[in-house]
Amino acid sequence: MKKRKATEINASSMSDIAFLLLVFFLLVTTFNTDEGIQAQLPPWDPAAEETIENDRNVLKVLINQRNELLVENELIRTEELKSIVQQHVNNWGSKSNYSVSPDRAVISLKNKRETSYQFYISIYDELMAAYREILENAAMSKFQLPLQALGEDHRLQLSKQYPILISEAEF
Amino acid sequence: MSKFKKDGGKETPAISTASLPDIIFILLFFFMVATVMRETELMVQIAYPKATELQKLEKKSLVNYIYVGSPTTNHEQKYGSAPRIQLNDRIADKVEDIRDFILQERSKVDENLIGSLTTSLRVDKDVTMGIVSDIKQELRKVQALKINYSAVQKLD
Repeated sequence: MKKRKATEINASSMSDIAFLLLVFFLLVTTFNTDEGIQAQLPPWDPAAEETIENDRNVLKVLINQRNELLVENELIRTEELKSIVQQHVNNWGSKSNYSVSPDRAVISLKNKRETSYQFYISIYDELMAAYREILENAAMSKFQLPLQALGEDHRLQLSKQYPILISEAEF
Repeated sequence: MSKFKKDGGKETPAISTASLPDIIFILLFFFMVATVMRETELMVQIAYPKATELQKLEKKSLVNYIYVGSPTTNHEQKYGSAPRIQLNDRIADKVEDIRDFILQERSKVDENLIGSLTTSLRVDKDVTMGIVSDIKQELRKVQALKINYSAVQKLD
């Protein structure tokens, strides 16, 4: 038998194959954009609607058709909302128009049909940010730890003490 | 001076392209890992609103998507330019269709996982709240109470 030198395989078309695969994946896939604001809707119960009107534990937040923000029927700027929510939740009964305790504080968010979705989301975002700050402060003062470093049971304890109760409705 | 002079007549060697496939493969793997398969073809235009308090949706198989927005230019003739609701691969005729959609999706998953089903509302930012309120009303009627308002990170 004749001994032959091993032939070299021409790999110049390898990059073409790789390019084809790359283009295929570029076309059929999308970047993962599954992020958003988590919310919990109240159960459907027509009889129980509108029973929470004049309650000190309920902070009434309205967004009207001109995209204006009203808290307890007073026009405010978006930046003011966070501190008002924090006052409301952390009131502990000291002011008569705010909540008795954090676990009973409710925020009633109402909007018109003509309210823009973008503005609604930005207000919802503010409310969530206010609650996150409240939780962070509570974690610091109770457990001397930042919120991210808390264990599961401590976190559960906190969220029981400061439940995020936002009711969404139309007016 | 003649020290630095090039010896004329020598050809420059060709640049080796042997590592080109490797580079392309690295790009390919990046896209394979960082992206997901397109599940449905969007028939409505959606520009997500911006927000800061975002949470990731965890289990993909336990998420139902409801798209709301103006129909794209290809579908404008058929559906008009007013915001419409898209469920899976079709545009819903009326809001009540959401109920059937949710019940249908619910029958596909395991019974003890129904409680962790989330509905992702992928709504265009220029839509008014009327249509969103109607959707929320329908979701409440079928006890699909966990929702997620899709948004993108606000950069400031």
